[in-house]
Amino acid sequence: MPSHRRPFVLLGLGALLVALATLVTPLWVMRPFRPQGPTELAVALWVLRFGPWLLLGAGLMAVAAVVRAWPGGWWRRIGAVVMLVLTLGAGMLSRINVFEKMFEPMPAPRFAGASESGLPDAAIVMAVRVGEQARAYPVEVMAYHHVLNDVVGDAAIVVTY
Amino acid sequence: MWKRTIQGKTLTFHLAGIHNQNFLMRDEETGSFWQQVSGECVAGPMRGAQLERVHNDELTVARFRAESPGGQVLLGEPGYSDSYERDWEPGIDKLPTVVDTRDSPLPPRALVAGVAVGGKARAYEASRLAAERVILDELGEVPVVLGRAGDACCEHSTAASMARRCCSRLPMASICATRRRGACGTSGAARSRGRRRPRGCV
Repeated sequence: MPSHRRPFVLLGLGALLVALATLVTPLWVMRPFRPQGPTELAVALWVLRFGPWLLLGAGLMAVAAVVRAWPGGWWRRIGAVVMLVLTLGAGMLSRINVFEKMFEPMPAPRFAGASESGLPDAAIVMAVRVGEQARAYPVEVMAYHHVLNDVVGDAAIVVTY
Repeated sequence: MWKRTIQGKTLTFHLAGIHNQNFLMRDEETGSFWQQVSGECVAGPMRGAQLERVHNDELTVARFRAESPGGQVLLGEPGYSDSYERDWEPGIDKLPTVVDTRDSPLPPRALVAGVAVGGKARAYEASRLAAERVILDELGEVPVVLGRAGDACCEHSTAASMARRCCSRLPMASICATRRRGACGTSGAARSRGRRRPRGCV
């Protein structure tokens, strides 16, 4: 019966489409070595910001599709559940910060005296002084991790490279 | 390097995106996105806010040790030594850029010292700075002196005092460049290298 089939198929596919768009849009727009125009960047960042709400909507739609499909027999149940699983899978993948997977953060930085750092004398560091405290961040370390939240003296700073 | 206390909040930043080969950070507290090279909030509840720059010098660890005997050096994370490359710049030099520099006499990844003052920006090729030691210029209405302090004296105070000796009556933006890369400066000095986005003209 098309009148029965259509709502659950549309709901399920719609849910899957929303979850996939949430997953793919930021990754597609923010690929390395390509320029990001202002509009596409705004869209990508909007999707990242409101991703949880989009995914909540997608999840509810997918569940509704299962509920609708349930009285229609096993094939419809299986179809709707597959779309639900795919929707949830895409949703979970979209919550992963790929940038922090590629370049792991340093939540608990460790420091040593300049003589005990193990760096060769010619290694380049970014040095900062706040009051009496001086700290140096080797470029070779920061060029990988990129972002480090630190406190030097009484100043909370973010070291970036 | 930026202060991360702003509008009464101390933010915790994460790497979160790419915008024209410069990375975006996102803070945990508000979920806003911040451009690394400018410290500007580009999206989210704090959009338009501007982080305050923290002055920092790029110098060798030997020089840091001499200047700050009690100073501390960040250690790498255990297990990541393979990810830390000391000599990655030759590789970076070959990668494409997203900024069109066809109008520029310089190649896209030329190392420059950037000066932004009085609403204008100008880039000075590092190799020219190295050759000429001192460059006098005018940016808008502002007289500018650039001094190259070699490996032996690459620190802001040296460049500033040198500049003051040369032209003591001028308001100035001073910059010194090390042998390897742009180093320290005032008045919004920006470097353009690697993943950073050139700011101003090149």
